[in-house]
Amino acid sequence: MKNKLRLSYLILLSGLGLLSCKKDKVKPAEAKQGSMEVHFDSRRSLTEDFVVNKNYLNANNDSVSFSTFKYFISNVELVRPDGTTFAEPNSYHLIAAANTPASETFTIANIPDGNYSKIRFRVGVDQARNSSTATPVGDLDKDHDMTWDWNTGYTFVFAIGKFKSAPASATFLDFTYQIGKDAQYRTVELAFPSETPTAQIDEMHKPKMHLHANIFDIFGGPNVIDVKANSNSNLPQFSTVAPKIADNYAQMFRIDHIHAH
Amino acid sequence: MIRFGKYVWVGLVSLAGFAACTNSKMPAPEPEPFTVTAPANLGTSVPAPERNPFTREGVLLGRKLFYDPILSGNNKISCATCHLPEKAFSDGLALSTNGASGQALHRSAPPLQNLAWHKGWFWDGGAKDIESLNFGPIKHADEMAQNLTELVKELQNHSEYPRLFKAAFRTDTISTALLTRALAQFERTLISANSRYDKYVRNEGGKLSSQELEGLSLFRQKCASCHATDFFTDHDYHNNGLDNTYSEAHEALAWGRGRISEKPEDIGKYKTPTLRNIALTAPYMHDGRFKTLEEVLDHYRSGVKVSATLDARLQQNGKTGIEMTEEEKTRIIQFLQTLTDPEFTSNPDFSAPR
Ligand code: HEC
Ligand code: HEC
Ligand SMILES: [Cu+2]
Repeated sequence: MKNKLRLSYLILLSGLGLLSCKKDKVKPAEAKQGSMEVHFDSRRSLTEDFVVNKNYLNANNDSVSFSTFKYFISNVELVRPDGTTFAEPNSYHLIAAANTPASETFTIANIPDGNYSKIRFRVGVDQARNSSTATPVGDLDKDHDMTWDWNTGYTFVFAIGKFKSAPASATFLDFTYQIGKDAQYRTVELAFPSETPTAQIDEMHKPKMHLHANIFDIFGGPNVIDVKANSNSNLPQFSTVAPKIADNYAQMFRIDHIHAH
Repeated sequence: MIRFGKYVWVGLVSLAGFAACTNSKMPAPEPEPFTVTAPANLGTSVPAPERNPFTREGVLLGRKLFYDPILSGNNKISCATCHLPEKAFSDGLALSTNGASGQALHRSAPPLQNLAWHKGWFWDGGAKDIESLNFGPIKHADEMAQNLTELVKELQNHSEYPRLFKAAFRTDTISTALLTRALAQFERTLISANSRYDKYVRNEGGKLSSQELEGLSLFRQKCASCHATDFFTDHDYHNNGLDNTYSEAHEALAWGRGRISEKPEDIGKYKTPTLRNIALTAPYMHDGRFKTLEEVLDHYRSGVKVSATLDARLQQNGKTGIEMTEEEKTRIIQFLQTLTDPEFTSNPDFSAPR
């Protein structure tokens, strides 16, 4: 009895505490919500996983390895079958290709209950945020190396690695692709795969989307890139190559499958 | 045991509840609205972005940060290491080795004055706003070599900064965004417009000698199309004939504006620097190649190099460079010396706080 009394006293107190705060606290909206985890699995190909620092042949038959491959996925939207969308707020995600999935995964929270059939996202950072690095939100607010110190803006795709051109030359050389600027911002839209053409998202259903990012496609989607002739993206002449690489990365993503949890 | 668990939990909730209330019941006072104005010949109003208006507390905090070596990785270098008030916030060096690594920088530290009106910052306009620019020197390995996450932690644990950030921005959470906003507010207040020349054009009793007046009129004929208006710059980019080859070393640094715009027609162009306080800011040009104003004028007279992007004003009537006699050169230099503004370099609002 004594114990109980004390307990209720405390509950009262805590209630008071919370009550007096009520007016400054924004109550979350009552609408029902779910979430979805998105995994940007870095791949060598459909059948082969990507391993950091391992040599692979690219579309130009150069032997290439990546020590770093990072990129911004932004302005993610989920599209309903009727074409209406849910846009994730402050949607800026830094994806770092790695041998572990943690740095390749993010969760979209507070998705309104419903059925969804497409995902739309951007590679890079929209012009509004790209013209000043001083109001960072989401993953833009990190001490990452995704900015230039001499040129305002974010790096959209940052790839560092080594290459050896076919066939003879014996030494590996370095390449650095630090691709940004508004002209290289690309929109990607992917319909859900035929096995799961729509996914229900709500409090009970929190699906996981498993995407493939075939990162070697930067050397050869629609455009085959000769890395030997274009090994440093910070040279001004690279401005003609960068849009071709952007067209390549715009097409390097597939939805492999969706786990409908 | 279970009951005890609940007990503690309930207790915690109530504490949390109260903590939240104490915060919200005692809001920080509104930072003082603060109007920064400029003298009439600069157009009175001072541009500032909507998202970062001036406040007294913000400017004072920015000044403290500007002079505080806490901003650097080794806690030894402040902005003022390379931007000294007595040199109109330049450093007297061609290519400084005073940064964290001791490596020579690739460009000369420009004076910081009337920055609010620029349209792009750095010699090539690569920075699109002052707020974004500030991260450059802080992070750069050859300048302050600081990790931003570390810096925010240091400031948050500091004995004074949490209070000062709260006064300026009404929050207990220090962030890189607020840090750079405060710095930028201070940088925008660095206005120089009280030289003898200013007091002459504003009829505030400033007198120019007949030789200086001769220099002024020569300057208006020969120089003022680029070093225009009472800002002494058109805020645009030109090639004034320093070089005729443009190396691709250091990621084509020598392309100047061309590296930023990625346009061949901008190769070798640089932002027209203001000539205010020019007698204090030697050595001259983006790499500090000229030690004296004499050398600068000799360049314009006989050293201009021709290349595809050389400004047309420096190759008129089939002649390269700007024609002037030895005497005219002297007069122009005499005029340039009237642009020195001691009220700017010794303004206590701009010097290190004590
Ligand atoms: C180690 C020397 C050094 C330090 C320290 C340093 N700067 Fe600079 N600053 C420079 C150099 C060099 C440039 C010119 C860079 C360029 O144009 O490429 C410059 C340029 C600038 C400019 C551009 C001015 C214009 O006319 O466009 C601003 C603004 C500036 N610095 C502010 C700061 C601030 C704020 C700090 C401290 C956070 C700082 N600097 C620390 C050397 C330094
Ligand atoms: C075509 C435009 C143009 C004209 C005309 C011109 N300048 Fe310049 N001036 C510039 C530019 C651009 C720079 C910066 C160049 C650089 O550093 O690469 C500059 C730099 C300078 C500097 C060095 C400033 C500093 O802070 O380092 C001085 C001094 C100068 N000019 C004086 C003059 C004088 C005096 C005249 C007339 C005789 C003149 N200029 C004519 C465009 C011009
Ligand atoms: Cu899976």
